[in-house]
Amino acid sequence: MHTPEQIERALEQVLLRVERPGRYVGGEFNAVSKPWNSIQVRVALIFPDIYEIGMPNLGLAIFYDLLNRQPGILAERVYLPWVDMEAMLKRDGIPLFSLETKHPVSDFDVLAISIPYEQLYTNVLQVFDLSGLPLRSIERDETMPIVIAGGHACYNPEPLADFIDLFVIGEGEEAIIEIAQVVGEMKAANLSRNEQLARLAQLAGVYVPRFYEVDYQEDGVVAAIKPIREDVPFPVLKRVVPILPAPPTRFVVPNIDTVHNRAPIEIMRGCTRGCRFCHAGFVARPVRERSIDEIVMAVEDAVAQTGFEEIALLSLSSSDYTDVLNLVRTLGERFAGQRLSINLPSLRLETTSVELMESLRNNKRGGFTFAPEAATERMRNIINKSMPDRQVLEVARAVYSKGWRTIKLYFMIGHPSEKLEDVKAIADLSLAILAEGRNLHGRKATVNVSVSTFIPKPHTPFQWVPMDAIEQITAKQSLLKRELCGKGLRVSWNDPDETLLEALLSRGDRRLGSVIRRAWELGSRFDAWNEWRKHDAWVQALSEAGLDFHHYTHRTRPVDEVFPWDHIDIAVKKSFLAQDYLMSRRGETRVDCREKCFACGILPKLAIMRSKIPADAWKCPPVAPKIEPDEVSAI
Amino acid sequence: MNRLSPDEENAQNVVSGTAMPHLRYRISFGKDGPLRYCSHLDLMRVWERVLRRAGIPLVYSQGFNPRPKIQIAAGLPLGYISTCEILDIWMENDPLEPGSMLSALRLAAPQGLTINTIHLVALSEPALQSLTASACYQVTAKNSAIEPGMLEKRVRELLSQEHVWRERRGKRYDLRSLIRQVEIMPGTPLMLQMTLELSPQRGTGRPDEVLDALEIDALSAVVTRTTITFEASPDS
Ligand code: SF4
Repeated sequence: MHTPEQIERALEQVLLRVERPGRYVGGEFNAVSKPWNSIQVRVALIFPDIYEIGMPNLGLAIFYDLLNRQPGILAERVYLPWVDMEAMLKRDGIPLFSLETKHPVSDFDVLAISIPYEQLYTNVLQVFDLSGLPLRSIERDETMPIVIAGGHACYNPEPLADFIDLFVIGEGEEAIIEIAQVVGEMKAANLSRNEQLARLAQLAGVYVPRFYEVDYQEDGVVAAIKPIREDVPFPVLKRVVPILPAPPTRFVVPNIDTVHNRAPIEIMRGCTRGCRFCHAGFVARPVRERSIDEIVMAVEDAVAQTGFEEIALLSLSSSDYTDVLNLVRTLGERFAGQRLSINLPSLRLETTSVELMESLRNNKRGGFTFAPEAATERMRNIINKSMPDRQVLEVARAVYSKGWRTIKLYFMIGHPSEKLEDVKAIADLSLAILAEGRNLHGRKATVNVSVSTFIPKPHTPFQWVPMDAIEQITAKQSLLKRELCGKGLRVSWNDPDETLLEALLSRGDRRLGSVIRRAWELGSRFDAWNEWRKHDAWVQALSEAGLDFHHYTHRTRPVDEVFPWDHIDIAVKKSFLAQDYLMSRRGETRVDCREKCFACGILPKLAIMRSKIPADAWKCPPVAPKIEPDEVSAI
Repeated sequence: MNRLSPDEENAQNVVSGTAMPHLRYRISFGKDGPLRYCSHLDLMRVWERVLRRAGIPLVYSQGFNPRPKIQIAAGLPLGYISTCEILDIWMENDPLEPGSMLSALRLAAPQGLTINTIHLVALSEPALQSLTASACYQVTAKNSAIEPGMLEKRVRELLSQEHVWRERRGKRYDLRSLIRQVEIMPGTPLMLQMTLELSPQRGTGRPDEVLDALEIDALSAVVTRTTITFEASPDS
């Protein structure tokens, strides 16, 4: 057992011997330290990567703010130490600790781990190990913290089912408070861990893996997933907040440089474009917007509270914000001359985007970013991201002529229907854009091309599609490297091994639990860091478990296959996704569903919620309020 | 650093005909606690945000990447504590009295940043970095096994030499010429006080180099900068 004082003293001896010790000391402006002993429920908010990566995470900032506003609850932050510090902690027997009060992680009542992407899975085990906690959920008893996890990767919770006590499926703003309150109520009650979890499983959106069982067919495909208790939900419907709560503005301001040094303000949640590869586009429905007034006030408040020089207006697709021009004009005028840089990422490739960025009056050093994803009409139809070809060059010309010198382009390769000529078109388009820049800025014009590789993500219309063959991916990347070299061009891409691992982990079932554990034992961690990912460890771990990549990543699946995540209900129907998948095979597209509702499932699944809020609160059409039985009896 | 000299900047003010002349303030501050582990570069960022939170409108440089005009007298190495750092800021106009600026800054400061004083200085003063002459450091050698007698001998030896040649980052230099004074303070734990050069002409002495020369583990010592002395100016 370590006291905070012991941890502080031990830290003082090691901090000057590690890289960037500012990661480990806390004490930042707006950090909240509540009196430990007088608080009933203590939550450790954990981002399983280093401080610089975890600090800018908006999800944890929201929970930090919400939880610390509750009188009986405290929330403190925990990040993973980098490998040099890890060695020091192990050498000196210092457990993983929270930044605010330096309490050992194992002293908290709840560990809430944010898992936005799959490459963090081995880091989650690292968190348990450095905290001196058993890795597997069933090995931890009621004297230890309850471990909850959430974030976009958790829409397929199965690969981590062995290790996490409870997943929050969907949006956590309300759920995390409810969980903390129930944990508080149970404190005096002397319940076993099973009893505690059974009670928590009653909360909407909570998935406790130990109360469900998976059967497999002989070929390794899931046969069925069943609950083993009657009182747990099946399927588990994701949690949705009907109306976005006020955005946090009192962000903790780091004393050291992090990956994003800015205050993020979410302007809109959800997206109705329906790009078929996009996980967020399907799991984050329905679309809810914040009002211009609320956003302007939040920006004002965030600047005053944090002093950040940069504000990022976040959403999946800024151009789709209903009154976006009015929003940026208002912000541009309100903050003119204040040296504030206001970021509006995720803009559509169209001339109005140039006007939007102009209105924000930022300096133009950062360049202009677009994500055309594909460069041929055929591929754009397959992925459902249509846009006329001639428009692209027109927009590029407008961007360069307004004074930007750099255009950043995001493309995706590796859909199995993609041919080499489609990839060649990416190179041609990038070169044509550069030529536009050269006309206006000569050698100062640049184009940065970032090429990701397609992964058939769960809960998307492409969940039935196999990953492209590795040789194909390599051939496509080589073509781009060959075509796109020269002055003014910068190309980046993902290592095929990295894509393969992400595909495996995002499509995994419960059997991957032992694989993740073994890979971690073999030294895997920081899998999102190219220099740390150990591909061989994963190959070995899979083969020791009698599994292989191919089953998870490269099979074409029959439309009726049961997926490991089928008991997780994102409120979009599987039949809708299947229909969209078949449309993609015929090259058919759908328009934005704001124009025409395609009945994806959101409305029937969330009908009661929808009927209770104003018509314009969601971009889905309103539902007539039904009279509920208890209201009938009241009449 | 790509900053204008105060004279150039004054000239620019005249040219651009700014309605309100710029003002230059000098802030004395301490750095301790969690900020001890923040590098000089990170500290500049911390300051920019403190000033923005305090509502102090800074002057920015011109060009493609405008930066706020702030100067720190002497970068403090990561790990050192200080009670006496000096910062100059250039302000757009004058909405606040120094007194209310002081309280605004104190409210806006993160844990570990202590604001001592703030006062107006002439725009025409030379750059802060060119004004410094020397600095005093207090060193507490926590885990040192050396007994005071031994240390006294080493200090005497160090100071008696005419040159102490050392290498830092591949460069050979004479540490002795950067040491003005080293003294052992009475009591336990072991305490040293040293005055080292801090001068754009003569160079900057580093306490960890002195400790190393005295065979004291610099990484477990707590070093506090206690004074920065300016070059006596001819007109004062
Ligand atoms: S219910 Fe209709 S409008 Fe709403 S997200 Fe689904 S398809 Fe779009």
